[in-house]
Amino acid sequence: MAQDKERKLLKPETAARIILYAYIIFYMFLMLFPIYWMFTGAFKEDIDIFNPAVIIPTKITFKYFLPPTFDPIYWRWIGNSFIVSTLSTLVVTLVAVPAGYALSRARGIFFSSTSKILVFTYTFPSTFLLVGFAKILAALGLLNSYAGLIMVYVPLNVPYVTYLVLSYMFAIPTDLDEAMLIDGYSRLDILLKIVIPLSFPIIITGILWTFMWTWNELLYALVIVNQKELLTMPVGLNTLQGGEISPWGQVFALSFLYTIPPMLIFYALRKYYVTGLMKGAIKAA
Amino acid sequence: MSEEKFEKARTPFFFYASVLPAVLVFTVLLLFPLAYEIYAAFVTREGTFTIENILTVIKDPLYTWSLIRMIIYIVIDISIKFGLGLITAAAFKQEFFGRGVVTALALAPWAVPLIPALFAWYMLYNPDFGVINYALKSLGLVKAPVMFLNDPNTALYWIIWAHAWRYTPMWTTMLLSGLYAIPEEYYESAKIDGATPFRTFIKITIPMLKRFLLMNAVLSLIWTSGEFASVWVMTRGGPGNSTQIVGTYAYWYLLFIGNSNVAAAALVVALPIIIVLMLIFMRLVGGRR
Amino acid sequence: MKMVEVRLENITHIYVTGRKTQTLAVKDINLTFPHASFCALLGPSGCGKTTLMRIIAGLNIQTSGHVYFDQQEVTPLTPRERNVAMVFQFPVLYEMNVYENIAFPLRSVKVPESEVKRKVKEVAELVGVTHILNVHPSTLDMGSKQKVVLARALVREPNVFLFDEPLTNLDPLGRLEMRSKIKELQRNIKTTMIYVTHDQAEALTLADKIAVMDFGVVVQYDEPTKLYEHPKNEFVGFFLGNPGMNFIQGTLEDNAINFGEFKYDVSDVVEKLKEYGTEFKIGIRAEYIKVSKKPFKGAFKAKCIVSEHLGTSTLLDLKAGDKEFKAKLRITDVKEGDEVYVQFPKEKVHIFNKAGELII
Repeated sequence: MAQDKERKLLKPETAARIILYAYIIFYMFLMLFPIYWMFTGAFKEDIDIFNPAVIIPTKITFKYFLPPTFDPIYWRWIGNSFIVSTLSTLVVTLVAVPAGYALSRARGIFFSSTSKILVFTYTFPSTFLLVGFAKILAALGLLNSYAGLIMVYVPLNVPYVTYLVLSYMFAIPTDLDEAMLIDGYSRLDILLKIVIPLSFPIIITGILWTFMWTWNELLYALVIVNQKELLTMPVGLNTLQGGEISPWGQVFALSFLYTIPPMLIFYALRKYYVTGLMKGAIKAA
Repeated sequence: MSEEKFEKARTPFFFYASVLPAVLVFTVLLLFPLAYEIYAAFVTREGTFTIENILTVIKDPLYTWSLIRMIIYIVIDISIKFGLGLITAAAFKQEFFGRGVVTALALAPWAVPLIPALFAWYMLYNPDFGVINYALKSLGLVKAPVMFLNDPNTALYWIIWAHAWRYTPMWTTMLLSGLYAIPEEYYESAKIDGATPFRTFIKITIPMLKRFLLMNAVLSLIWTSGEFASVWVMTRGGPGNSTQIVGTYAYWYLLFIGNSNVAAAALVVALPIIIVLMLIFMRLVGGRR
Repeated sequence: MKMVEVRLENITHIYVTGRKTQTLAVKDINLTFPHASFCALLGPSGCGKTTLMRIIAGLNIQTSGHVYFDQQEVTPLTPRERNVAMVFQFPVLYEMNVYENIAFPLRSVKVPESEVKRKVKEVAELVGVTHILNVHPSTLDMGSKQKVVLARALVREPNVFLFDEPLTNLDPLGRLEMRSKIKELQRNIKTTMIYVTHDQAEALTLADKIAVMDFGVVVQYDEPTKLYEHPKNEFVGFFLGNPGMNFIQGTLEDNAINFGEFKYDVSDVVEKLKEYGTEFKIGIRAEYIKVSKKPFKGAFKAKCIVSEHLGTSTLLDLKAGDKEFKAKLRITDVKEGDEVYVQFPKEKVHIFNKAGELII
């Protein structure tokens, strides 16, 4: 957009400008301070952690990142989260993308009903399936296993990601498909060679969505896994905290480590995410 | 007739194959748990039909309060996300120095994982060593520390704030995209017609986004009704069960009391509210396709 | 209705698009649009016509220069204060019923309710939307939507009416309809109107005066007939008319301009031409060229390459030697491949120098 000198030279306008900047500063402070405070907490000495006056730590320590305070099991926790999140994301993506494509192109009662059911399914709040899933997994003996957790995470995310992909692909003109069909390409070719590359923003969005969702998930992980070695980070962090005396330094340090993977992924892919979110959001309307 | 055949020829096996895994996922892997859960709600441990579970749940004041709190939660939550999000989106639409960096950074609360973010607020709220109380005391605004999460009357609201805080950035982004979706000509026309920015916002921008806003609001209400983590992590339902919501109630019944049937009933009883909201949502979506 | 004279004085505008990039949109524009006239800003995309309109409206403030409405400098005034009305490329209608849409500008400046009702009804009658006042615009057809837009613009009794390529997004039929509506409006309401378009036919039909623009400058500002018959340069000559003016390049030899296969006698002006060198272009419009299947005095031979029937006339692509040009005739039976005889009537020929500027 051409940034041009607009009508902002009159008095009420400059007042509005000041209010704007004041609000932005206030808002950013509100959003960022808690995060800043938590991150610095990972590096503070104990005394400083519990001293609210210490906003900018003068003494830094890494002791919560190293043994003996840093229990090696924490690495297992991060690893578990990683494995579960990555596998779930992979499966969800593999299921959702072709399905989204098919639903955006195919006609017929079956497909249109499926689309409607899709909308119904993705809106359903996951918490309300807790008991059902718990009992089924218990019956199948899949508690305390990666498979069990993934078996829950995948169905809870497939509908929404499929819907995102469907909406996005719906807006991709079918002329392309038809031209390729005439040239003798198969539908699979069309999907792989043309449609997926064009749908990159939303696929990335879907990947980020699933990854973040599983990375953060607490309730199901809490219920399905209770063996210490198999905990995911959210559960692990939760067990550390409790009662009056919690090892806050440790908690913050772990949180710090736990935040890095999604932050990195998020930052690297932010271009796609914002585009995808914007487009997906509009489609939803 | 030939058009039907033509249509059929264009929906080949590939489409069915592509869609099948997804269909299996939500019919089998979602329908089963739902069905089983409803079954479990109406059945005793041995498997005989009963409505005892439902009655236990309905008669338990702790449950009815959980239900009420759930509703309070989702309403206040969406109000914050919406209000703050809309104002911020309007602000972010303006040109200002450092806009790119600011919009990116503003997403931070959402990028930070949930649990650590909740911990951060937990600590900030602490009466003795939380920064908020420290600041309030230093500024002379309060004499005794504010018992944010320790006060049964206010704990829930501070939990809701922490939760809304985390999701406001996402809403800001979404609302911003909505604002941008409106062609510039509308804003210009309003300017030429003499409307102040505020009037333009209320009378033109918002009405144009009505459906979009409503849909996202309803979706938020539905999704937030299953909230668990924020309450559990910050207060475990306390102090004195004053922050229990449906999610934590069911969880508590499932793992601490060990009665999965009552837990199922707790979830099932709340379902009608959810279903109604979902139907409203479907209505809104159906408007276009 | 009010009607002001819009005067642009030394208007220059530079867009800042990013950290270091700047684009010069218009340069040193001086134009006066008389009271109650209908003037067009005509030119290809990027020529600066829309920028100029936005500056007149007050949506952009010019980098330098002045804008006057009658004798008052309006630069510090907001669009509303300038009392301009603008019609966009697509009907901009707010999410409220027709009555509310029309009332919007009045309400925005706190006109009392009784006044509002009277004015809205008045304008609705004028434009012909009284029967749909309670209707939501989404249900209306394109034509009615445009009417509501016009009504909303008229209700404020604007000083200046601005049109930003309003017909561009319409299909040919809709375009003709709207064009006649605008002409009707122009006749009924004596307000200064400024119309931006890239369609020369629109400009020629609707405007009292046209400012032809290219690359941010006004090339020629004149009445349509003057522009059409006496274009200042090649750009104007070619841009106006369907097809545009023919330009054929030749060399001055003895008393004629030589085009290879044929010559054009310039003995009466040869002295003047010699001042400009030896390379010249002659310009002649397709419809003025004399074409016949039989030879006649002063004609030269040419071959028909393409023959297009356009309903009431035929467009011929003719070639003589390596020079090509188009001729437009009434119904004729000249076919592709035919040999014809051509003459350029002296009174319709203009001579341009090599750079394309008019000499005679």
